[in-house]
Amino acid sequence: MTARAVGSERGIALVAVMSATSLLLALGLSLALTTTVEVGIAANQRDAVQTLHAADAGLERALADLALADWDAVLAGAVTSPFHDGGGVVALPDGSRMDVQQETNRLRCGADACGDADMDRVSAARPWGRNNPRWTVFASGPLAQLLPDATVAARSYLVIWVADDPAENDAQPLRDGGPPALLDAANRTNPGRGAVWLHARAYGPSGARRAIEAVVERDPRWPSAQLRVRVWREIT
Amino acid sequence: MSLAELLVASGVLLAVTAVAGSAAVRAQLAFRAQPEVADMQQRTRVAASAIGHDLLMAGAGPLATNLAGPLVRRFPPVAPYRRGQADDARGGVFYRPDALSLVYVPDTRAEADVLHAFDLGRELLVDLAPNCGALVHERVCGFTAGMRVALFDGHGAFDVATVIDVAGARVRVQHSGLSASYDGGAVMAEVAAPTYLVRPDAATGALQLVRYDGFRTERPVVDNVVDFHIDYFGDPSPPRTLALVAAADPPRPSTTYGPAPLPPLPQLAPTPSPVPLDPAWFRDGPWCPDAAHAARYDADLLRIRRVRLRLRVQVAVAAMRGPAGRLFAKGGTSTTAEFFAPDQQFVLDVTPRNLGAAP
Repeated sequence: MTARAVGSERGIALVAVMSATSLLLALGLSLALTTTVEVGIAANQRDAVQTLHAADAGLERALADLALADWDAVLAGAVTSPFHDGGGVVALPDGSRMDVQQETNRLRCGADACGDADMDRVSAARPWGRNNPRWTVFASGPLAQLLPDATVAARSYLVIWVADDPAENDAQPLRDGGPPALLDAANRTNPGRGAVWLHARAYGPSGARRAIEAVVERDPRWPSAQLRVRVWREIT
Repeated sequence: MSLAELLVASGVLLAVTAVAGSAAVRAQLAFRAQPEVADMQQRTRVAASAIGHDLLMAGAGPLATNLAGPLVRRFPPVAPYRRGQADDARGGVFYRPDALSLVYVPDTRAEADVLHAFDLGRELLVDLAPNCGALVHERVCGFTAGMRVALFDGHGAFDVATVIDVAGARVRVQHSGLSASYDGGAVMAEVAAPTYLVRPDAATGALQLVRYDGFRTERPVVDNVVDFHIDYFGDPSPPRTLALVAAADPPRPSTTYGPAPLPPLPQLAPTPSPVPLDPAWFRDGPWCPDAAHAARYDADLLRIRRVRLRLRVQVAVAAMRGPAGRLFAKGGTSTTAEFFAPDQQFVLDVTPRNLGAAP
């Protein structure tokens, strides 16, 4: 090494620039990480809230269509809402695909496929035996189709199932309000007559899933085209 | 290099360094404040999510009992004071600006009609009607030891108790005093009965929003609360009686809202839209079940249809708070704007679906 090379200042600028750049890069990355996580959390919360309201919107649409329908035909799956894309295997807003029939079976018996005996089996979640709900798809489709003129981004897929309500005592899950299966002092009438159970689920972006259940009833004392919500619950 | 060149170079270097240093210090202050701002946002999100869910569910009743339907037909599911084992009403407090209690039946299969009830002092033996469908009569479904349950009847009485034991169709519950006998015609169902209230944190003295479960536990929801305020909006019409249904028809409500006999409430406004409810109306009667009852409540609570809740939190570090004013409810020690982390506030305006009543 020569004396000239030892005393040379060539390259010092590169060292200084690299040091400053490293410092700024570290600061920038740290800030970016903080803001990215924050934005992600905020976006997830927004999607979750929007998805819940989408499920509620689907429920409201189903109520409007149910008000004028023959409920026995609805429970048997013979009548559906005009807002029904036929189900099948559908694309969800988060990019995944879902088999609506498989989801229906999971609601009906907790498995991908169900027979009558599976659906009538008594369990903690379905303790009503032959009066267990046999969920059938009443309405389904993208939220955007529900709101064709919406100016907001409606990025949820909706499925609304309907079943006979749990107060039934007729052991006929596809019929609303049949005569009680056991006629005794405790079962003179069918308390479930004029009521059905709905399960509305919305599938949003980023894997957001929200579900609402409601029991709605027809009351002859109300205006004819109006259903009364007996119970409304968010299912978590 | 001459001396003049050296001086000029040094001067330029000093000037550039001073400017860069000043910017760096400000950036560093802001950079230190941002995580605290993010933390405040996280805390408010958690609080909004927790309170929002409970508020949405407020008033949800049982699905399939003789008293199925919204709880507002039986008793007030929303009240502006703490309810539960530690109950403000027993001490004569019927309104607190910083407390909100809610009651609802969650997604559960534990709900049944009461056939008979036998009071054993602090315990109640309850014989329940079968709730596992028409064909299973020897037991009840859903109830487990430790579960919190509500007992209520059609005349405005309700109590919350804890299941001790389940044997067939007989359930033993523990309570801290009952407001009715519940011997027939009543309903027992699993219940969530949270109260949100603000109290000082034992360690720091700062105000803390807590969720009291109505039993023994107060769980912190968010720290460093500087404002928690609730406004109530209600049905301007008094409850009224509905026409009776035919004997062969399934049970249907007999009133638009509230228990029978109907409390004598006045008409507040000519329109059906909810109107602001004056807090004074929550403590002046008329009372349900009656004015002398130990577990009485103001009938105006039955009017509540909408709740507007405002929560404001501050950063814990006083050095990140500036002078009291619009940005800070409580002043701090900071004089540098870059180091400010202003208070965060959210407003929840919820009309719970289960509080909608009248046709």
